Amino acid sequence: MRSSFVSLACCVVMAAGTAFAADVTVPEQAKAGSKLSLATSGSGEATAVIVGPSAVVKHKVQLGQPITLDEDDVAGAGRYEVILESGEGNVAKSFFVVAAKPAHLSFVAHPSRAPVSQRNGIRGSVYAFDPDNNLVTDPIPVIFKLTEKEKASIQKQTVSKNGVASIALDSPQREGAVQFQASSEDVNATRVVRVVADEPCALRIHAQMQPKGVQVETDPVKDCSGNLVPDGTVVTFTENDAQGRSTVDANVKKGIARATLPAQGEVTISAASGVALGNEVRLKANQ
Amino acid sequence: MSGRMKFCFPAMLAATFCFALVFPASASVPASDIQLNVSGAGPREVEDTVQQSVQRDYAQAWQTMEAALESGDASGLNQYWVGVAHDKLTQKIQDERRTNVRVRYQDKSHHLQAVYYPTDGAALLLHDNAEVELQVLDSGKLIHSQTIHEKYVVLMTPGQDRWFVRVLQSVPNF
Repeated sequence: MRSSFVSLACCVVMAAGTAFAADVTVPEQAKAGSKLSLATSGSGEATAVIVGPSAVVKHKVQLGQPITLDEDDVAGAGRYEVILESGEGNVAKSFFVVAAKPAHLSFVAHPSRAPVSQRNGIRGSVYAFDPDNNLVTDPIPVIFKLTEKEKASIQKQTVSKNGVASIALDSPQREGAVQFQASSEDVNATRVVRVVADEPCALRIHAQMQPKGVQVETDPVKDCSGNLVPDGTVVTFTENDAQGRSTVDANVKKGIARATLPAQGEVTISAASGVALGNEVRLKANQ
Repeated sequence: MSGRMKFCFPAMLAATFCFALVFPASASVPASDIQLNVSGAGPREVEDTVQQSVQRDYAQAWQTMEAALESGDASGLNQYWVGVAHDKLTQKIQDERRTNVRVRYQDKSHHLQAVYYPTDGAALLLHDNAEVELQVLDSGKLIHSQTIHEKYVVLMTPGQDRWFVRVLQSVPNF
């Protein structure tokens, strides 16, 4: 009879101990930047220390009352450790805070100047961040749009993976500035890519005698899409005459390259730029 | 002992003591022990020099973070941390000072997997399976100690002579 009473008393004490032991309940996961309430149990006072990726918070708490964490306390995405210090010892729990919805996109477009008609010539990478600058690692749809002036835009949609969405688009056939836009839900970012003419596709030259030699010039130098090549593109003129061979490099200005070559007797002139070779011109120079 | 040596010896002792305070005996993972797997990263192939730099600089970044949190001085972070990651750590160190809570990290191992390396080479996105010992001290008293196996998403960007950590974010899973 006496031993039963002692056992019963022990059970009551243990149950009471269990009921009033300091503890804290944490969510498995929470969204960054959202207020959070952590339930506590037990009785008496305790100190709660919360360690997160970008914050360390300390609160005096009345056990049994919830610990309220403000938006700033849980702004960083990552692991949070909650340590409850009380007279009965310490209790530690952890949970994860994940990034909220994207608030801005870090959009890297490459290159800033792309040649025309290049397969996968324009590339973009998008890293999405939430309002508290956490990388959004959950997959999100991202739409990439390439818009030429007065033309229909090219649009492709991808889904981000590991926190990044990327795309490779063919560059347009016409030179000029194009708008390269990335958007996800209601956030977007735009970059301007300048599409420039490619290498010369073909060369045509003509020459005429001048008092100081032969003046040779190209027809307008264009790439294979019909765009004038950029100023500064080098055209090499080669002349063969009785004296031997000489070459002159000339820069394209407003689509045309010019040079004056000294010449004697029978002269053959040709031109080259990049992989393009020009026609040959034969003429008889002043003796 | 020459006059110069007499002057140098106490200075060296003091320097050694200070170093031991900042970097305790159980040092961080050296770069040579950081495993980096670059297979599967793309679209650009990760060059050997980049691999070496990333291993070295990521190890250094962890060391500077651990030292900064230990000492409560964020100035050392500038060497290997930029952007969001730098700002978050700075905020954490300010909070440490305000609350008198000290957070001590000791990285034990890192298994890095490169997951995205764009054609322009302007960033490198990695996953890190790390083992880290975490200690929390409140007013100098150890209140929590735990070894955690953490998954980090890491974004590094190149600087003039090194790679910087721009994002270091632990996630429940990859």
